[in-house]
Amino acid sequence: MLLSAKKINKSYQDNNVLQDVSLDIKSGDSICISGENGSGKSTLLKIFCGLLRPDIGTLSVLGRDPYKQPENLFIKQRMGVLMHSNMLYPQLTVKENLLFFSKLLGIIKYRSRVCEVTDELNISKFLNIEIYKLSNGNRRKASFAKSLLNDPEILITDEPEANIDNDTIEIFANIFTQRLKRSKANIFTSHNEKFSEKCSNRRMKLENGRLLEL
Amino acid sequence: MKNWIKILLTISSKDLIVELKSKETIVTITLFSLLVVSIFAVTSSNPSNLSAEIGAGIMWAAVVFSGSIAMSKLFSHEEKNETLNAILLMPVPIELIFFSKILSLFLFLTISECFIIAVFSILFNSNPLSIYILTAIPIFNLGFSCVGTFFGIISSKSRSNEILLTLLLVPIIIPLIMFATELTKAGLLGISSQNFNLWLSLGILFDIIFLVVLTFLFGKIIEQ
Repeated sequence: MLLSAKKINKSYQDNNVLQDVSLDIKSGDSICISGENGSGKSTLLKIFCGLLRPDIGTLSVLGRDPYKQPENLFIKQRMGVLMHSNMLYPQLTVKENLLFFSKLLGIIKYRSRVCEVTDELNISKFLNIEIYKLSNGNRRKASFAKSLLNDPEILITDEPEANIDNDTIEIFANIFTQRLKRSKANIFTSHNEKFSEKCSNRRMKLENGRLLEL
Repeated sequence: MKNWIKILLTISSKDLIVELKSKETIVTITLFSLLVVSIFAVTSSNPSNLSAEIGAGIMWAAVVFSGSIAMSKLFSHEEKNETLNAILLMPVPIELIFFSKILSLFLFLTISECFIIAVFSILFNSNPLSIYILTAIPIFNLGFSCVGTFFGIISSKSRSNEILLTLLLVPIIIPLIMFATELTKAGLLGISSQNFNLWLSLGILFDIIFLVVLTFLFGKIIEQ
């Protein structure tokens, strides 16, 4: 099992965002979570990637406890994350950002890996442009490239297709499906029916804090 | 260990590159401290005859207030762009992230202090450079960066982060300010400080205690 969540509960003050959410993700799963705005999709993904802690419930990723060091370092090395915010340094170029994160991920041939990923996403021409000078769509692509640097076992993405043109959505979808052939797993949220249909083999919905299989 | 140093240098050198491109932190520190020192120089009837006590106070007041403004700027940018979260998602021990931020702030402060000393020398016609101030600077910067990084990250979540950081930071670093002004005073007077060893021990002890305690607490805060 790549990820196993049991009875996850999370609330913000009096607002119970997640109630008894349980989910198992195994190799080859591509799970799309849909739901209304504010239904808790992003919160759930943040819990899965370790940015938030659940109030109640247990989480195991790659058979390890994500809240213990050094076990969580093992997990982080094998996880790719793309959240709503692009989490890139606006003053640095795409290349500088990607090289920086590759080094932190401990990728040995980091220069060639950056080239591979940017070629795959067709953003090589933006490599030497600062992030703040890019359009929202190209920033999103650069951020997606960052999440793919370590060829993660689990790819967690929050609306990856937001601000993206149709051609690039095709590229993203292709990457998602190619990963499944290599027994990797994807979990993502989306409001785009076409994209989620193309990229997922399991579809779920968050409703009133509960995660329902569709 | 070698890997840890590599990561530490990677994060700090990234901070330096970001700073070299934006020049925001250094410019803030430099301009603010220049203003503080200039106001005192202009309002003093005879700047050349300024007492060592007041001179030392002016210098470190400039460093503390400009440094705290720069710190809040640095961390509010991290918060705004969620880049601290991006580093937290990397396989890097939390303590290393803390140390790398301390190292970056240490460097920024050192650069700005060089500038403040130069301006001070010109405006007050006195040379504060001495073995005392050269001892005070690294010890002060380490303690200030350590406490500043810790509270900088906490206050970056607040809307009035600049005021909050200064309010949290200044009371805690009072022993460090006393240590630095005492040594600077001795340097300005050109005499040997009678309690040099005592003040030095206080400065080093402050750094050790806060480095150990805040490194532990930083992990806990980030987890929450």
